[in-house]
Amino acid sequence: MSFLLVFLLAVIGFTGLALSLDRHYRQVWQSLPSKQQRWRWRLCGWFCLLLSLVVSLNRSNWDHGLVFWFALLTLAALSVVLILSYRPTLLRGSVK
Amino acid sequence: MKATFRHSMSWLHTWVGLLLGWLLYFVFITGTAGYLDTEIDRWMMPEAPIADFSVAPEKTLELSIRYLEQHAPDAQRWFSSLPINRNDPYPRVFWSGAQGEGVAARGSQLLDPTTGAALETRDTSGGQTLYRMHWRLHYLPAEMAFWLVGVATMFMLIALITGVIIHRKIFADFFSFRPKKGPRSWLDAHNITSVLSLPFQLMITYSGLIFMMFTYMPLVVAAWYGTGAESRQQFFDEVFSPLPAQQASTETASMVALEQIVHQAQLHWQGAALRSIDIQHPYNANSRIIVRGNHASGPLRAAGTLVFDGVSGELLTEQPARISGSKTFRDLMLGLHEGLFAGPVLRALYVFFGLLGSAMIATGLMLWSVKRRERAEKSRQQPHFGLRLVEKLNVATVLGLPVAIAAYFWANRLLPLELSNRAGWEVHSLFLVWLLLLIHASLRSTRQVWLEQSWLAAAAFGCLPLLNALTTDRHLLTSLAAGDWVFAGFDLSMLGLGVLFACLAGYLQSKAVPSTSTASTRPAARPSKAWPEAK
Repeated sequence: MSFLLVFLLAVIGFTGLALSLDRHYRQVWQSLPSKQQRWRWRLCGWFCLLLSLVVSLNRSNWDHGLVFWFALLTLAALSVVLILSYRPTLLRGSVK
Repeated sequence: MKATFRHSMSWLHTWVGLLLGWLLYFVFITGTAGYLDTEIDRWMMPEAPIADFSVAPEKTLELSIRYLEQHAPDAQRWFSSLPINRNDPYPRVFWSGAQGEGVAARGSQLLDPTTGAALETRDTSGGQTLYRMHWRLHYLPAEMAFWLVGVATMFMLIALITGVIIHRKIFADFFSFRPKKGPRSWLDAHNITSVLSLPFQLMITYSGLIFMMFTYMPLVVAAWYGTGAESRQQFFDEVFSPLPAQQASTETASMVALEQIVHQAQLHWQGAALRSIDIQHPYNANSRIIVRGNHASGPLRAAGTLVFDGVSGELLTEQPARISGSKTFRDLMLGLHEGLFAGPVLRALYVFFGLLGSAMIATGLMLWSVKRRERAEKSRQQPHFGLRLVEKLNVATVLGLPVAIAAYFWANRLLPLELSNRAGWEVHSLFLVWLLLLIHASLRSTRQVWLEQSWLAAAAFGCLPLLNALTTDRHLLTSLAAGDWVFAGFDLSMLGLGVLFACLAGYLQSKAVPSTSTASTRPAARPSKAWPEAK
């Protein structure tokens, strides 16, 4: 089940990175982020992505884990794209 | 020459992409099917039983040798591969140099895992042929196909790199998909599918080239070993075989008990699975037995090899999975490309990324024609012949190829079982149907072709489970009840594809008859659009 955790962490990570961009922040909150908020989201994004890497490597066959990480990263980024395109306000409730 | 670096890269990306896009789409679609090769095999051989991985290797070996003794006496080589995972669901034997009346000199046969008799199935090309198409291109001579695919792959790599260079806002647009905005949406879709799956696309393209590096770059070997066939063989022997091949002696001898070999190998590898046993010169004084481990245990596609004396059973030499850095790198690339190690979840992801790659190519092709169609309509010019040709080829490839693959599955169930060269006709059906769809595309308007071929695809895939239920005794419910997940999975996937294509068709249909609300938002001056156009 660890791949589910990796996937969720990657989704949160990419959501953070997306929200550090003006365009997507506006999609979700109809306003622009402050400089501080932008950095906070960016930091949170990178931290979660790093954490997802650590979780996926932390198993006996780390080579499988690394392949999985790359695969789930793409899947997570795609999910974030789809949410932002079709249901951006969904992120408002779940993230904050 | 174009003015700036980015301009010239953009030119290269556009035209190389267009020229090789259709071939690359074929390679990607058939290659993606290859990730499910044995599953497709299984569906196309409905007579075969559920794979059983619990049979002890000693038992399978005993059955294999019994088969070989009967059907391939006095052979130079007996080979038996053991069913240890989905890559080889059934015991398989291979032999060469057999002698005797009514005996094939060389051959290959799948065996029934419990009885050891030849697996009686219909004559089919199966998932293997579909998978091999992605580099063999089926009808072409091997050498020519390798070079064509090689050139296409090389340009694919160039397209990936130039694509990154010409992408103006790769970070700012990383998450951007703006639907219903005409060419903008197609560009977004093209960017999203490529950028987000870039690790996979780079890996698959680069490793694809590594596969045939000895064909594409023969001079590296030639420089050290010489150019003749013999010197090439010497290179391959040195790199890939643990011991030089042994000549047969004139003396016959008894063979060591194979259980003993299996036992020794298992002890040596601490219980890891054995994949195959290769017996050179069986029942000869110079006999050797080569045991290979499981090369699909991880992304590194390599396994240890043990060589035993075939008479005494003494361990002669061992070749570990990693013998040099460069070979290990190659094994890693091949392993990642083939994904033999992938379990169900990762395998599903492999298939998904293959489809994303296909979507990347398809959206690129669409983008080319959509942009030019819009330009032509703005300047109120007749669309150029080239544009119309590309539009036709796009639809006949993007939708035509999937329909043709569905036809391949239909042919498997509908062709009479006693037809000679039945397996060959399955493949002919694929290409004949594809040709028909190309003709269909040339006769009708592009918008109609998109609509009609997506309905056709929906019907062709969606009805496959029904066809299966009518022509075999393994319909979906019996497979589900029997826990036969490979068979049920295939039926369900086909249903899923049918539904997807039906959704596409429904969407196109709704656009073909614009409702009043969409008509009002649309400039009246642009009435007749070929389908892939936004409102």
